[in-house]
Amino acid sequence: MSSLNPVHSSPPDRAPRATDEFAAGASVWRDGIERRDFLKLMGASLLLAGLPACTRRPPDALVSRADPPGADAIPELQWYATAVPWHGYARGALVRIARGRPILLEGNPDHPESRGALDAVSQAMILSLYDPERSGSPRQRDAAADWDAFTAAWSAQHTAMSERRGARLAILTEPTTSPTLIREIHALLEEWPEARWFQHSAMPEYERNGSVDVDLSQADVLFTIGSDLFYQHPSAIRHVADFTRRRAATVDKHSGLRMHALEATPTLTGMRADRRLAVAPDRQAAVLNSLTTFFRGEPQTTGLSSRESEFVRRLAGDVRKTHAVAVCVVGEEMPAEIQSWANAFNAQFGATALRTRPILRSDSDPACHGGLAEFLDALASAEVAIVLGANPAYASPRAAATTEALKKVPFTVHAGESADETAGASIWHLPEAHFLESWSDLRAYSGEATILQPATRPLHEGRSLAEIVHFLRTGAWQSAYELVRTTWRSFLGSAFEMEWNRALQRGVLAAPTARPDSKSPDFPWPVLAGRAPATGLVVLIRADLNLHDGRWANNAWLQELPRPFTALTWENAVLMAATDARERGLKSGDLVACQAGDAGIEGPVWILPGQAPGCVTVHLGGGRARAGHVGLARGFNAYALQDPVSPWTRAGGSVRATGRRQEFASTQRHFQMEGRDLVREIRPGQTLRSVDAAQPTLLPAWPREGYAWAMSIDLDACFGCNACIVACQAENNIPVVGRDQVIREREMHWIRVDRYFTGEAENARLVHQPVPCMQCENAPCELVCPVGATVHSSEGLNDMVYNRCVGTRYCANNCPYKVRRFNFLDYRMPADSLPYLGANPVVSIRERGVMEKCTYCVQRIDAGRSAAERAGRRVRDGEIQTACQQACPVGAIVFGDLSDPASNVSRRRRDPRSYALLEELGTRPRTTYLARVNREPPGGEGA
Amino acid sequence: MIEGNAILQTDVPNPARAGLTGPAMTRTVADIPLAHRLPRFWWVAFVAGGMGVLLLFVAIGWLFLRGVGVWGINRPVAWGFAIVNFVWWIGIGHAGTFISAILLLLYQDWRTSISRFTEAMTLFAVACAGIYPILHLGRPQFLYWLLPYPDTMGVWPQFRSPLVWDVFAVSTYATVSLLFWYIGLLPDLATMRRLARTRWQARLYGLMSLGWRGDAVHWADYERLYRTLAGLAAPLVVSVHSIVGLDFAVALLPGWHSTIFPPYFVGGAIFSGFSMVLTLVIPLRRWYHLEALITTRHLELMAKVLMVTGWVVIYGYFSEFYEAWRAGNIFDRYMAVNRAVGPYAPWFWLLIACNVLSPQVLWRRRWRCNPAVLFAVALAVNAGMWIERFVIVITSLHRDFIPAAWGMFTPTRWDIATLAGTIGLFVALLFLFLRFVPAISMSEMRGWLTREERP
Repeated sequence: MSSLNPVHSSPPDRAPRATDEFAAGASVWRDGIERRDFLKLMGASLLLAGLPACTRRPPDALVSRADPPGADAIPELQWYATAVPWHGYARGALVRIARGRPILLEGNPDHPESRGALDAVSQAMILSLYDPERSGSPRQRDAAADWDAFTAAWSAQHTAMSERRGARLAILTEPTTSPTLIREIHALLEEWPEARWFQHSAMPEYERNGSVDVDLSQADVLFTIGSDLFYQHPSAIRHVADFTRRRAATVDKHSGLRMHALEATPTLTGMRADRRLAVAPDRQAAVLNSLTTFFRGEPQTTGLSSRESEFVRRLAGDVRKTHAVAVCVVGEEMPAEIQSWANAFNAQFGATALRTRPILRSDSDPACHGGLAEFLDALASAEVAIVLGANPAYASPRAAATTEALKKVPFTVHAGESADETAGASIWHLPEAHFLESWSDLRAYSGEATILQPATRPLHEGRSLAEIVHFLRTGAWQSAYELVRTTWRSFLGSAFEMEWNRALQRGVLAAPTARPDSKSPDFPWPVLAGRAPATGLVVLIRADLNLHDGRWANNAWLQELPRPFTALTWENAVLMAATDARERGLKSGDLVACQAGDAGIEGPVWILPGQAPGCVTVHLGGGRARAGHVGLARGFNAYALQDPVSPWTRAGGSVRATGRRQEFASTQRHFQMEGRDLVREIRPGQTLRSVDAAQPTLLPAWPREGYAWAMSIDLDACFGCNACIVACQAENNIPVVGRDQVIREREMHWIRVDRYFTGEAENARLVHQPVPCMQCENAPCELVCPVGATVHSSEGLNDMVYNRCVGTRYCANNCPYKVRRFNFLDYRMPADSLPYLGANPVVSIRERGVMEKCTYCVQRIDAGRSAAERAGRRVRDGEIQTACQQACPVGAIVFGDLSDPASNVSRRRRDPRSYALLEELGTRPRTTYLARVNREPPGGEGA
Repeated sequence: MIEGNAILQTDVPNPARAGLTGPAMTRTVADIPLAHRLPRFWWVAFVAGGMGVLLLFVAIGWLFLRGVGVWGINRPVAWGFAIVNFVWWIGIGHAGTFISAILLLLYQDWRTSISRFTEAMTLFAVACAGIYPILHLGRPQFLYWLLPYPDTMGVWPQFRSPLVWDVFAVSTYATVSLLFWYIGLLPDLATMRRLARTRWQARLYGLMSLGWRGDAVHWADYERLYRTLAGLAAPLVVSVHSIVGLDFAVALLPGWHSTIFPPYFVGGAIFSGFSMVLTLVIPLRRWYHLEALITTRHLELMAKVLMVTGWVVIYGYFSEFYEAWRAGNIFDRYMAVNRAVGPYAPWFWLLIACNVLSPQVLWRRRWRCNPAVLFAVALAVNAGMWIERFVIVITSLHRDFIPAAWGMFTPTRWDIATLAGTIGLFVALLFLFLRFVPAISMSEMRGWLTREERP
């Protein structure tokens, strides 16, 4: 019964799998067993009953980690420390393994770039592991092949290559921090000095600012210029956590960390600013030049609009006040001259908040011969081209040229997680192992290394890039496990085994000492060349918030995750300011032809408050030509608009209506609060009426004996990153419903993040409000259910009994918060599908026709309570964390027991900022909010 | 001006005065099913209804195969056509029992001409209505969980939910209406047996008449039972739609949460019921030449009921807006404004045109007595009452408390197919009724005629 994967199956240094008796994926449990088979299996199961488990247990050499919060509560779960690759950087994570299968990615509390939290995209990587369309076996000329065939094909090349010392070999990789991969590439280049290595990434240059890193915990003023430091950055979690901690300490004061943002297109970071100025890129130089005059002591605001000069005055005032430590962070997409302006700014005001970090990603590796352009040049004379991990045939402004150039090379190899566009242009495609099924190592942006250990035996035949590079050089396969250990033997020194085990357990290894850049310490204020007002529109091209450069297009969670500003799912749009749209007679949903130079795309217009007039924004990641059925041809391909020289900004654009319209799959259609008191905003020090103040009611108060679970969400901390949504989706087996069903308003997310624009359209501010179930003490849903399928638990939870639900949907109507979700159709994944393996085994999968909703992760509460009972004590505060709470990078969500007055949630309920959503309805919600704090000094409105 | 007492003493001329005798009347009425006059007209109408029934089967089949997601319902609009149609049909089903039971107890002789027909209409409307709560369920196979049956696990329905009250109200109403109708039918079925022209007719009607021989004891028992059932049915007329109204009033949604709903719904139900009676009676009376039995005066009286109930409904509309304005509740106010100028405003104004404006035509006696005008008004009110339920259900749900969760409802072809299907079912049942059952109560009619002859 080798298909049952008994415990002592192949160790991590896996034997060549070509001799396996079954095809890849055959050991996945299939449905529909015959009675005879069932009896056979029953017999076999009885025989094997003495063994712990017959599932995909990870290999033996792993070191599990026993100390995440609440780990001892649930003995059947295991955690392994690893890291999620984030464009070559490590983001520390723990894999939660239930019954031998990885089911969740959680933050690693010990990792400096995670601190126990994890962003939406990284969490969704667990779904990619189970993606049935992930590449499973090698392909030759788009036909199924196997590793033996490739091994044979390469050994012929290998001999010739060794003879000519690597001449006419071009290798393209993505920039990486992996010491093992870099070591292997260097080894290859040493052995074959004539070989050429190039790197390409379609993401912004995160290494541009060299070894300079900001430490927001030391700053008093933060000025961001087009930067999405809190969301789209390798250190986003660390920065936003630092920022929020600084802000939280001063909620009742006007002082504390203040933030200003100058940007053309709204970012989640910019929306956190106390003052935000939306101006088109061609105005930014003027604003910054005016700021320079303030810092030089001769203030001038000539040529600025009143709004711009007000912004400049206030920012300059904050910066110069009481010798504040002020730092300026510039978006990687901004022109280099603005970065040099920021360097001058930081040198003058922010030195104490600047840190040096080691430069560890391979961007500027001296052995590298250039980027994609040089790679394409090299291809002209190359005989062998190898693309590892990158997908330049889609994710680059030179996609078409890449495809053509690759097709002319006699021997081309592409290795990647999916058979993508570049695979289509290559002769050989090799499946790259998912990071959860192979050994690897990576470094964080701040330098700490993590050894990535696999969480499962490979589901397919993928191999890691380091293995492939090693094979290319030596012609022999060596396991990734050995390769990684070889690398670290030299780093870890004498007590290698002990250090290795500790590294695996903790998931973090200290960073090497950083050496500051050898740049001159002198940063003069540059005078920025004010660009002539652009004729036509400026087209801003940005990486997508969910799909990044398009690589996650086949991840259904990310496709259906509502984009923060538009709530758009499954597609991208041409984002436009209302004034620009009005001038051109465009409405949201009009299909337009967006032209820039000789390039153009066709996409629907979305009118976005907060977008600066004069520019439109398009996001990458759409219009994939080769992807699985989830990601294929969703939205338009914005790479077509990219100019290889300046990929992020393109002047002289135009937008022309086509006369057609497109329906949007947006999960939110109304972004105004309509004068309702939903997201409350107070001034520092102001007090709201207490949530627990008695409200007039005829109903008896709900008894708060035993545990009384409650949640508090800090709206001043929440910056709308969606991490809670994906965490909830993974934890609670929430189905993806598809674009058509989203258009019909039937998405299933149990926690949604409501967004409202406030203020004037141009400089609009976005406020976020995560809305899970309120677990009302007087729940309107319970009253109207005719069969008692939704009832109150003794601990104050509003329980949903799926088995009892007949589906009248009356509860959903009567829920004023509209948090109930209904299975209008059968949204379950098939029980014989791969993603089913990643389902949380302790959460039921809901069938068609039943209602579902947030349960406060009742399965975690049950496990925590049982563990506490076994130990003969009460549940400790913080011991039980809901999935959304655990993922939140800013600690906005707190869950706990109200009957314990010392608990965190009890303290938050007594906070003067605490309020209940729609409390006038008398529902007495257990989920309450802390109001946002508007720190803008009075009198600043409407400037 | 109508005197206080005059409403009980309508001056509908006894057809006997026009020279109609009992045997002639019996022949006219009994010949409709027995002789099957107008076969071509009947077949066309029945086949049209039958096509609707087929459509209904297809729609239900697809629904059970795929789930309620084939309809346009969503979040926030979790109730759609199924509830709208349910309330509409139940409302239509109010006229019959109102006419037969309440008017019977009030000694309104004129009801005799139309009571049988409207009772049948009631039954068929309730049958159409009864389909929807089943189709509406996400898991219709567990419909019986709404019933208080002795479950081995001791699980009961949740009695605080108005949906459970609905189950009792509607099923009681359907049962009593059916009994009332059938009991009233017994003497006529015996007459039909006597007049039967073929053997199978005699057999069939003999079987159906449950051995009625016209015995004096039979008549005494019959009268007692019939009056008792009328007494039982009369409060049901009020209770059923009050409880349907409570489905909405108990919820806390702006636009639903209002104490006016039960009386407003009862008024609306009788309004729509009478308009449906008029819609059906006016053409049938003409096609089957029943003008002597269902006189213009009948039509006029029904038109007056239509106006009275119409004003109850108008008061309901007024009170909704008045409350929204007077209470000063931001959600209620928004709901009121949204109804009048929001995305569903055209439907709202169509509703006003149909239900508020069109019945005002009937203030003039000349128009009231003109069957064509009356027919047009009745049609408008039928449509208007459907739109009213649509407006109540959809506009309240689609924009409630939290703007981020607002949405829109667009019906799918399956929504429309199901509605068209039940209309087809209604038509098919109605023509089966015309084909096999005397459409006017001959026994009561004879009693009425003889009352005129006696003095």
